[in-house]
Amino acid sequence: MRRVRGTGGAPGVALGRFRWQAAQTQHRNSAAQSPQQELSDFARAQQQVAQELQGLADACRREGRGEAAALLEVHALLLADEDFVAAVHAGIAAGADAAQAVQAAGEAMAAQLAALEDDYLQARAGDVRDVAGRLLDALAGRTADAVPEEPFILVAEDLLPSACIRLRDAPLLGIALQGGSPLGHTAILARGMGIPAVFGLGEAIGPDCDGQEALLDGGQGELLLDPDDAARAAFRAQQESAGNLAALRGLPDETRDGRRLDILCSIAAPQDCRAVLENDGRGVGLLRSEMFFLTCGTPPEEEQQLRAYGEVVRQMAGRRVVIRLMDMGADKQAALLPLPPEENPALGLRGVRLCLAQPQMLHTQLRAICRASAEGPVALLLPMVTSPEEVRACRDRLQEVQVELRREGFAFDAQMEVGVMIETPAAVLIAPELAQAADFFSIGTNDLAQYILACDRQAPSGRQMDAHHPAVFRAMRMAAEAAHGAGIRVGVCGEMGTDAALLPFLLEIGVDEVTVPPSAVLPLRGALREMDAKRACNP
Amino acid sequence: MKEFTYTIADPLGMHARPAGLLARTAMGWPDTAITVEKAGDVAKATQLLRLMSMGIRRGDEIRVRAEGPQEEAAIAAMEAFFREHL
Repeated sequence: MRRVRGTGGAPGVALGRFRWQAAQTQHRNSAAQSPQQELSDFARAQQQVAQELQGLADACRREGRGEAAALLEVHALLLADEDFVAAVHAGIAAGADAAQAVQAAGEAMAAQLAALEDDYLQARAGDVRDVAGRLLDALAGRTADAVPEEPFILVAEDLLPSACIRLRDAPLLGIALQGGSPLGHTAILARGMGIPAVFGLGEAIGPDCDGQEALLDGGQGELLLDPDDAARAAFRAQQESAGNLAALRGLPDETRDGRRLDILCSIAAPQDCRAVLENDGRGVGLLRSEMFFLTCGTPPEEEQQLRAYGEVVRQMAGRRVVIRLMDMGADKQAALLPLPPEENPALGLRGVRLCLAQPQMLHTQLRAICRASAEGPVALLLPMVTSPEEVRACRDRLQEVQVELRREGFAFDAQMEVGVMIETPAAVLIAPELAQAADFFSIGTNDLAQYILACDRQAPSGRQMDAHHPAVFRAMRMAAEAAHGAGIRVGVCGEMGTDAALLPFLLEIGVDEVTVPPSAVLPLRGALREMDAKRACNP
Repeated sequence: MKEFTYTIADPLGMHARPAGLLARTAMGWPDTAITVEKAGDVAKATQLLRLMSMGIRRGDEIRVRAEGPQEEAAIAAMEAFFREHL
């Protein structure tokens, strides 16, 4: 058994035989014909590739694989790019044959992209090489490689995005590449196809690996060549538990005796929606909008925010989406909002206090959230609340925005709920008053534990923080009782929500929903469904 | 001639998909010269590879110009495009 490390390209594990795929595109070595002949050969190849790409893009679209289709359409545009075509024409005019000219023009354009500082655009050099490679195939009259009929792990120097798409019907178990970039389109496509991939393996694998058996772990970014029995057993166990979890998709979040506890997801960006849907989360219980602000150099405009929120709402297709106002300050400082340094940022200007102190930013965000609410069920969540006045002030701002939007003719949900995060001792102590002002509670256990225990969770000493302290449990119970006293729902988000051992406690205090990272949904659902609420609550 | 300036807000900058969409949108105005300029570097909006290799990133200010018989409509379409996609 030999272990080889690379970089993770797409998560998942695969066990199978290697099939080496040699790089092709060595162009024919014939003497150049007349420039006119070479130009017409090039035009014919261009037309043939354009048709192939169009056909493949149409097929992807029909199969609901819009991402792959959009990529192929970009390739079609690159194929017709005027600078690329001009460079090929110039090469032919200088005496090269069509293939030489395509290769040289493609390499020059790819090198230009590869020289850029931006990692993402560097990775686009692969798309240019892809298009040039297809043209070379067409010029040489080559058709796509024969695909093995037996399940296989593909090993190659590199894999062009379009070649990856063409493998969509092949019994492809995994992808192992000497090169490749996790930012490249091949990686994005592999993730979309659910094919585990490991990149950057270098010379450790090569043509001599053909036929060898290997275990590929895309999440860890490593390969085991000739895996031993222990490794095979671990692989089978992992597959089985993944299979057991997958069987929980579509099942209700309830105990054996029918007590419901909805499991939602916390996310930071529209890209995370895929994980929510794959793991069958009941919705988005916490969209951390500040992550969007933290990555922007200037405060994001209304349209930009609307685009992000709207995309989440559309992808959730009717599942609830709770958008939390930007929760900046403390550990989350943004370049766009230069705040004066504070002696003790965890106790400084943050959360809803900061939102109310920045009326323009709050106004813009509320407009974007309201407009997103026209596209599906949306709720607003206020972070770091310490008084009912803060809730009322936010509701006033919200009402102003709604009047404005109505006047401007924008659609929105006038009944949008406004929830309060319970994450400060003050909020726990005045929970009954807050429950009168709020439509729902969301207990944020990470901050709540830090503030109740006066223990900074960022500091090294924070490792000693015991979130299972009785004071934290008692605070959670008080908040849940206040919520139910006022007839509103209460949820829990944070680390404690992912701990299946705490489920009996959450059921006992009457929590209605938990919000966890997408990967925790199915394990938690499995634990919940094996539980008996009556027994759990009255041991 | 009509023009506007715009600050790129998309976290990925001028990446492949919006650049492709931009090129295709600009192709809808064949008689109007539409250009994108970043710090003195000018490309036609239909030049996909040039657009990608200008390295336009978030926070960059770009200037879009349209000149020709349909410049009014073209610049309005361009402005809407940038607001929506970049």
